[in-house]
Amino acid sequence: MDSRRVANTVLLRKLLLAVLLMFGFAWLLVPLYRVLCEVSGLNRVVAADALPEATASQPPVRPVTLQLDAMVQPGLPWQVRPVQSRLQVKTGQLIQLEYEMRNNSERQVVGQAIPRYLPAEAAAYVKKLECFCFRQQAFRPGEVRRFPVVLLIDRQLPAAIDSITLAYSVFDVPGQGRAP
Amino acid sequence: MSCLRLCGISAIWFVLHSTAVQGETAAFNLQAPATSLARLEYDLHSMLLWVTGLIFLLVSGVMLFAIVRHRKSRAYRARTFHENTTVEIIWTVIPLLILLAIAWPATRAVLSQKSTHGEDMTIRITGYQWKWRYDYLDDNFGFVSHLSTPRTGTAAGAALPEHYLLEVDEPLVLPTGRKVRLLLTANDVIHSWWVPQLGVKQDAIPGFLRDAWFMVDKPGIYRGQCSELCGKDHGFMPIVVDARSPEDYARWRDARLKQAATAADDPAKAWTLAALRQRGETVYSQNCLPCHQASGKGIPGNFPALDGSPVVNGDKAAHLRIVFFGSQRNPAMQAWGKQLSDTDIAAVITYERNAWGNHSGQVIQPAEIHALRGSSG
Amino acid sequence: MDLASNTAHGMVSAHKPQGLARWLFATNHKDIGSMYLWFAFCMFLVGGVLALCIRAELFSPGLQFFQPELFNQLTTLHGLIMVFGAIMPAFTGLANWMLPLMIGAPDMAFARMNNWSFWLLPPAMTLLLLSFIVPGGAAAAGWTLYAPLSVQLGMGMDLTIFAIHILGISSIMGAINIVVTIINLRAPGMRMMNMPMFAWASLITAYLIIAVMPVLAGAVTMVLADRHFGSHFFNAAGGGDPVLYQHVFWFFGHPEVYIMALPAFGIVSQVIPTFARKPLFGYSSMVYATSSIGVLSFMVWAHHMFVTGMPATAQLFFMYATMLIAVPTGVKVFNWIATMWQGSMSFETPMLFAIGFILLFTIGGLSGVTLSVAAVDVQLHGSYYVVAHFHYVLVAGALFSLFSAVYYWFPKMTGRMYVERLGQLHFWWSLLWFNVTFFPMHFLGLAGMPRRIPDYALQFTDFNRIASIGAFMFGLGQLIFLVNILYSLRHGKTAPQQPWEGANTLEWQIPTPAPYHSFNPPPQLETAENGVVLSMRDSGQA
Repeated sequence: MDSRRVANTVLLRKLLLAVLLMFGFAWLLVPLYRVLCEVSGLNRVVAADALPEATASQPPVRPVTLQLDAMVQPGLPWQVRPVQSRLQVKTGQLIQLEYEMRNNSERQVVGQAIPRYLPAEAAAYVKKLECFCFRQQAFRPGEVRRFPVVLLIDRQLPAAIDSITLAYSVFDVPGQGRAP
Repeated sequence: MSCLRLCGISAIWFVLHSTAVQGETAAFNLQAPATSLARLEYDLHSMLLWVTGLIFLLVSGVMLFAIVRHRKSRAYRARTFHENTTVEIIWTVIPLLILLAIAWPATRAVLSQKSTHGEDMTIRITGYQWKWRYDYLDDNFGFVSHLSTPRTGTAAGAALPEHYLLEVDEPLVLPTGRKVRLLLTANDVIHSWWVPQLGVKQDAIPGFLRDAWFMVDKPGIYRGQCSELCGKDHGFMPIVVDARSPEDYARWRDARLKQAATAADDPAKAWTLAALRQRGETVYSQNCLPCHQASGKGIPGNFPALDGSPVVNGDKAAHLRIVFFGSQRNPAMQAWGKQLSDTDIAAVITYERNAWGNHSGQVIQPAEIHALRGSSG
Repeated sequence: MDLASNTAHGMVSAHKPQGLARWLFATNHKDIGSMYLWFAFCMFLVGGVLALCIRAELFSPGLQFFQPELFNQLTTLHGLIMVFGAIMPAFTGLANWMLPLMIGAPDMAFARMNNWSFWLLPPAMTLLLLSFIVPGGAAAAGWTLYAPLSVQLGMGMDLTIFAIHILGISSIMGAINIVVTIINLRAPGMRMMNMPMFAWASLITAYLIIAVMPVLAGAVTMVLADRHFGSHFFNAAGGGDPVLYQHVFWFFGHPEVYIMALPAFGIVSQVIPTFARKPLFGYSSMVYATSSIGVLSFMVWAHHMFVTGMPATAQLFFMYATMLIAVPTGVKVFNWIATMWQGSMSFETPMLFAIGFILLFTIGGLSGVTLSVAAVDVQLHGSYYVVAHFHYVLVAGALFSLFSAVYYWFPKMTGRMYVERLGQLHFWWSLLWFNVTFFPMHFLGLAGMPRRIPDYALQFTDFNRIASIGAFMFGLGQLIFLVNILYSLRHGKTAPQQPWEGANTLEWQIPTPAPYHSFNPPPQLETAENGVVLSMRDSGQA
């Protein structure tokens, strides 16, 4: 009887420890996740790219069609459009383009743009040097702004790709003056 | 005999299939292709049908032979063999070779479907619950396309229109002989844009962009439907493509551009109750009716009634707010402020407050909605 | 153990608990197996009624009986109930009943866990069915529960998610039990490479279940977190991706297809040799084919996603991998036919269902090859062609094999024969109306009818009518089965120990009906391929 009592106490302790560990793990999830993001760079939305290094055997410069677009996501009272929707550009050269954004509401709104590329494999070859997507953008009520975007298409771009579509998905950043 | 009957069915299938190719109707087969892509898919499918059909006939034929001949009731004495390496290698290798033969044209077809570059024009397609928006990116205009079949409860025996559920108020108008590139995205959930005769089916994914292409051979009306379950009215968001000759298309486009320039409503204009009600009824049937129903009674448990509703009959500020910003509790109630013009919202609210059993007599002017856009909420 | 007496071959005389306790606290594999089978049959009827509701609505264009949102709930629950409530428990029940008898084990390895894995099913299914009456109704996103649609839905979706969690735990426990039983509890002399194909199929299926049910649980948990805890796994605005859900779901979903098909292969591989009175052809290649189907099933998931806009290279990879599965599947079909070839066949009901299985499964397999070609799939994806395809695989595949198995083992389970004429009627009736129901769906899909729609354009009317009539007749025919079983349980002819002339696996070496406790202690066996027993004697240990 006594040995069973001891065994039960041991089991109880183990179970309590397990509960404590589970609770602790759940409790630590948020800080752990933050650390993980910092270490792995998971949460870095969009960052500026470095210019591609010049190598000895660069493929020649060639023309590429660049189609521009933007998709405003639900919850964001903005208008976003490229000033020019289609450009003839060349690989290996700096390209400057412009986007116009308008806050249609009369409240302060913060948005974040994420670039999407078609074909998807082109993403690795489009180097963004200057872009409004590097940070969240706060717009005053009714504000209209033009943003320059500077990018460069790597000369290593696979020959099969002769047209690239760049479309920004623009999202509402919640908690920054949202409608009720 | 199960096999006999099944062979019969497949035989009928083949016969019908071969006649369907010549005839106008395509009830037994893929719809008549109208683009090079659709033709590619059609031919590939026909090839597969023959290959798989022959394999089926062969397999079931052998089995049928065994069933007829090697049965106990005919006193057939069972052999005892249970392996034969040569035979097994043969029937592993032959299917492999058949598959290789199929893989070659299949690969070419996939690559052709994926070659979206070199387009003459670009259309952005956005899927909404439950309608499609088309934006002509090169010309900077766009419109929303709704189902136009009236959503009345179908009484048995009532005559249905010819293109029941496959008709829209504004079709996507395109020129023939031009390579059209589609950029697809969605606003809420995943939709899928499918027009069988054009050989295109592509999911539209919220927050992401996908592309597809086609080039229509000859003028005509091509119909399709959303093919990814997107909620309640998934079956009620058809697609109609109206392909016209390049000259006709250019005329349509110019008219459209002029119309876009003049159509913008003056938000300051004061409307009468009757005019707003009339416009509001149209807006209601295009946007609100699927959930709140033509009767305004809604669907108990899912979508609230508007007829006799305290919101609709109460303080108009609350009514404006829920239409404009949507409902926090029920995501099906979207923020219409983003989708509809000031005038349309004013019209539909006026309609709701003066329809069915609601008789407030109130008129909501577009200016009030304009002011709401300005309020910080 | 307070065992009474040992009879020949380690049979222990019946000592069974009585009354409700026998079932509530059941640890006997035969009791639990019976409960599984009855439960699965009830769920089959429930899911069938939902299917008939769908077909009733689709009899004519226009909305007659159900509003669109209720229709979506019906299709969703029909799928979930049939997959998780009917087919999977039925196979687990059969494995419970027959595996210990076929490999000479006294019971399943974990008797109490076995009880638990069954008794989790009724509450899970209750949750699912209850969801019809909560505000907003049941889940309406299709059985695939695609995000972000499933994130939008009402609390019926939460009940569904919890139900799936419970069902997943139940399946995993059942699968662990099967794996451990097969690996550890085979009687001396029952070598792995001599096991019955049904045991092999169950073993591989169990591994698949253990591998993928947690994946499904993960997918629906992410949906739950997106719904309630503010996460953004499937929401682009928060850095998520809606397509991620499809990848995770189909990584579960495709092996799941084989979870429902491999045990069917196993059953057919037992039934055909028995009624052809000839050993199974190519036993070892059958084992390898089954294993390679199991492995390949993990590499083909994205063929369910050919229109999501994958890069061409990914499409091609998944297309080739999918086509490759046709090879081992073909090998199995050829092996069954070679088993029948030059046999001495007789056509009792189990054999009829097995032959029906081979024929119809071949059609389903060949339409699968058509679907695997990505370029053609662009036309067929999300259409009724897909509905036709997977009903040929799952109704004609899984369900027909289950009927075959129940008729085949009914004498051993109950000690009585079923009524042969009713069984034959059941088969011919099912075969006819199954084809009337599902064959026209190929045409509907080709002609452009999307699946999961409550109302359709006029050109689809004729085939929908035919399919609806077929569905109601098919449903009616299942009552023949129920009547046959209920009648035969009490009034059937007494079955001999060996009702089938050609049956020579272990379960036929013990008395009929199978005693409550069997193979305790296990016998000494001498076996040949596919579980054929050459000799059996007492192991002598008591």
